Amino acid sequence: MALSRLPYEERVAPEGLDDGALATRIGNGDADALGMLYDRYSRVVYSFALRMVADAGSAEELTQEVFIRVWRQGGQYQHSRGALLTWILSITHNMAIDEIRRRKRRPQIQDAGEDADQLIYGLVDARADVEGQAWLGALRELVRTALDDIPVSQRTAIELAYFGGLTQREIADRLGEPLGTIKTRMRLGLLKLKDRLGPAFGDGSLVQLGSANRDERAE
Amino acid sequence: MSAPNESPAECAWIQDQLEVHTLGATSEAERDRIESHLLICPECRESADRYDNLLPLLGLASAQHFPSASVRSSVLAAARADLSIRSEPTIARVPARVAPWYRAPLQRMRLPHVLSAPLIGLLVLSGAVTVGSQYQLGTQRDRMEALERENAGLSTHLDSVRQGQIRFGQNATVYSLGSVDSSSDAAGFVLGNPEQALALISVWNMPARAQTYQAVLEMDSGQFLVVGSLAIDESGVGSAQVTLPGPLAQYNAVHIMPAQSADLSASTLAGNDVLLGGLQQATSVPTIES
Repeated sequence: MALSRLPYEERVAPEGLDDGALATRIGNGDADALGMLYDRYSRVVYSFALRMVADAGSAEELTQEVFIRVWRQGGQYQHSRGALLTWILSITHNMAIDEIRRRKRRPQIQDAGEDADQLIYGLVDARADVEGQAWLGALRELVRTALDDIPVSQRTAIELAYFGGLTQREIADRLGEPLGTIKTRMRLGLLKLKDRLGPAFGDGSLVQLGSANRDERAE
Repeated sequence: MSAPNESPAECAWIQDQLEVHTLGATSEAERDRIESHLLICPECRESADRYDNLLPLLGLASAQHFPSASVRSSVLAAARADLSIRSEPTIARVPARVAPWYRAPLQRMRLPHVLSAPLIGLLVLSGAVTVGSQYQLGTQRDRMEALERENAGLSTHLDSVRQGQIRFGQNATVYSLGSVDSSSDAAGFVLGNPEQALALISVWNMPARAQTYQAVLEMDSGQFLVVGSLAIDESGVGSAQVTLPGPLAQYNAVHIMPAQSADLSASTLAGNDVLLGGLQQATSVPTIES
């Protein structure tokens, strides 16, 4: 490979469709486009859902429901309001929170362990576009680094609320801390996250695989 | 739910609660109070919206797992079933035999039937003009979409550049990593500022799956230094942020190779290198105003 070549110069998926074009096709009822979108983002959606509901079966059901909702609401997706990935992750989060509250029990606030790794190891979807996955990997690294940069107490409060669906009072009870302390930790933690990630991700354009919002870029 | 309150004191309380609310950690009563206020207060709404594009990205920080293959099949089966319902033909209703639609208005206007033909012709003509305009609009829209697709690669390129500039400043530079083995598709990049001791390395299509690789700096003195490791996942992809002992520009090249013993020399590297990228041959990155 020539050294002068930029790595993401041709980061449009091998199928030749960027996120915006895929969303348009899905809105027009193209099931093949849904398959391509699934191959691109199912791993991210499933992993996020698994972390929240801590149960592989429920996480698979949520993954299925998320993509069916994307299929049915694809025509309503507005490119100018944010990246497709952000929209899909929002749907995932909302559905997982609903699931957590519906079950009226709290999930384990941690990633599934090695057992889950072993269970799913080897089920790599060969259709996934590897350059797209590389880009997601780079995004993931930036988000992880930003999370690692904030103090543990603040990160814990944020994770218990965002991934666990707990209220600030429930978090205070669980951690044995005053309510005001928990609120302050959430606030400071989120502000730090916004400082670290906001300039790069605030407008959502960097999360867009393929084309991005040129209007915003042109400003 | 109480009536929304627009007072400055309410705005102050809302602003104090926004982060907790954004995380979904308020009680149901607090949530109702905040949501009803946000409906009538654009300033507080704008503050709440600032996290919209940010928070979902926390989902990316989850450890990566794969759903079973049956989920994909189920999703596509549901979509196709949905599609068949959407396209199911509807039973046409046969209208009762009625007088032509134009007869009643003509009668009301007391116009003779002989005028109906030119009137209908006029209507048909205006309809044809409308359809023609719609067709032209459709053609323009198709052309615009085609241009958008053609520009996707450029936009993607700008993504990388802009990311680099935001994270590493205006001197952000991309160094490509090429495969040492010409038959391999492995590739990658190093993104950083030549004057900073920080870089983001990302690789894909790595030949050995689920292994740990190491990033090795090659220095002017001919010495080599391991600066970080990259865990390669099952699809051959990995990335890591590495901290260097000095500014990036001080070094000759980056080697990516399987993690091994600390015995690093030109001869051992020669047989183990998977990716190699020169740090003195940076790709020029154009300036983009954010």
